[in-house]
Amino acid sequence: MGRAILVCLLAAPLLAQDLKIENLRLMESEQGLPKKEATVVPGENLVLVFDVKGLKRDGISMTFTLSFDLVDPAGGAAAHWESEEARVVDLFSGSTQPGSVRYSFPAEAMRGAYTAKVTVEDAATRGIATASVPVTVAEPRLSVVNAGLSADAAGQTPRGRVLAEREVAYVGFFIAGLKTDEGKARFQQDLVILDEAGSVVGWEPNAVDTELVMHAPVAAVQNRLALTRVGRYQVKVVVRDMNADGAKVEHVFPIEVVASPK
Amino acid sequence: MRKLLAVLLVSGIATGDITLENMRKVVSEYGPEKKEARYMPGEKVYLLFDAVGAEEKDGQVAFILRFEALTPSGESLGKYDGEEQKAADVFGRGSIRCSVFVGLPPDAPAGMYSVNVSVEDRVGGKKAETKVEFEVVAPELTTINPRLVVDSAGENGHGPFVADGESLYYRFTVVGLKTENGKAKLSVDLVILDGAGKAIRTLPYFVDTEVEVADGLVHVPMGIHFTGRGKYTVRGVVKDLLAGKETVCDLPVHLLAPPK
Repeated sequence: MGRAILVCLLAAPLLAQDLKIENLRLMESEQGLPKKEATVVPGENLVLVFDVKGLKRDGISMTFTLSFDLVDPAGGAAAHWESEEARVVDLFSGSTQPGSVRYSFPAEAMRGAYTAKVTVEDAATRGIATASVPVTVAEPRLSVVNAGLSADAAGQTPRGRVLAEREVAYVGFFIAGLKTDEGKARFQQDLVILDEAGSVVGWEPNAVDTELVMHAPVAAVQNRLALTRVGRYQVKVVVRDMNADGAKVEHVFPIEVVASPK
Repeated sequence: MRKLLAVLLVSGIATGDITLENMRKVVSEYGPEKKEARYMPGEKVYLLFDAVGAEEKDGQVAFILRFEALTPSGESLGKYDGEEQKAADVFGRGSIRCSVFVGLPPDAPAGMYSVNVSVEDRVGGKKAETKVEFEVVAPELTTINPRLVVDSAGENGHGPFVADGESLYYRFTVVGLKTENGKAKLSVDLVILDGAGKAIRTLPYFVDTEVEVADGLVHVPMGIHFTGRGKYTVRGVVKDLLAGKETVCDLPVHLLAPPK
């Protein structure tokens, strides 16, 4: 009995220090919704989000490198990226460090089944953890992808989906699979706000009959949003491809508006 | 006036007289209400209020926001004549939510300043006005305009609600630092307080750092990687090493789970 207790006491801290990557998942954007299917289209950003546990602490800081590998359907290396040594400071007593990787599939990406792998190396212990997830590159189809909120108009800074009253954010997304006519896409997009009951409480046509010369396989769209009332809402993006007889596609994600601290 | 900014957020429609209500001074665009009644030269004055009672036409309100900031001697610091705006907010009935931002010059003399604000209801043909006064005092060691921002330069603000994994800057401005040959010497600690106000982390962020002081202001951006959940206060502890003085700058932040 005495020995068993001793083993448990020793094992607990040792286990706590095991380096792990957990909860690796494909997302629409870093702070958006998880993807419903592990399928992307050319031009779409592959967004991987994960949790790192067990990095050795030096005081309140941890040091590590992060690498990303993408294996194409033929078994070749479609992408390899490795970070410089990075130091993170645990300011909030968290045992988990969230991480993310973003990779943009080019227009000519080979169609088929890929494997995306994330590796973390603890610079203090040289311990390594890996995790991988399958993802399929499909033929382009009319879709709204990589939807989420950003804190800047250029869509460079993904942000969480909880806003303060009056806070300005931007609803950003890509439209994939638009039909082109002499290199030009023609589409409409509406931003619709729904309340918790699903009723439309706001509607804003932001880009009626937009014509766009397509230099990329996807069209990037940003909408300014400033919400003034506390509550939970659904942001619905509606896109119509006017070169395809108004073929319609939608994407919905939830947001929340919270009263600011006094 | 060096900088005048205005933001209008419209949340809907009512009828009757238009009134300006719920006027309050806040420390930054999404920050809490300002506790100190006084302002420092170089500080940004953030006013929030609601214009209630605008009438609608064809489902929209139309209005113009105007304001002018005045020095103690009545000289105009700057004037903002807004253009007519239609209701663009996506929410239904309510009031016009207005924000007025006024940047005080770094050399603003002490005294009582004022901002005259008006909102004109272009549909109902009514107008409401109000005057907000505030005191500017001579610079002394303190911190102003704490906010979360996306970039270290503070171009894009961020509200107090933060998601797991977001990386932002806690940015504020220090005024009243003692200088020698145009330079100040300071240390800044980043301290995290939990919901009970207990310091759980202290990170020496700038240590014995010599900085050029332009216009009496030193901007301090400190990068924070947010993880987990909970209510916290981020605190900057600023030590003026030439004057042997210290001041702190607090901002509440809430780490929240994403809505489902």
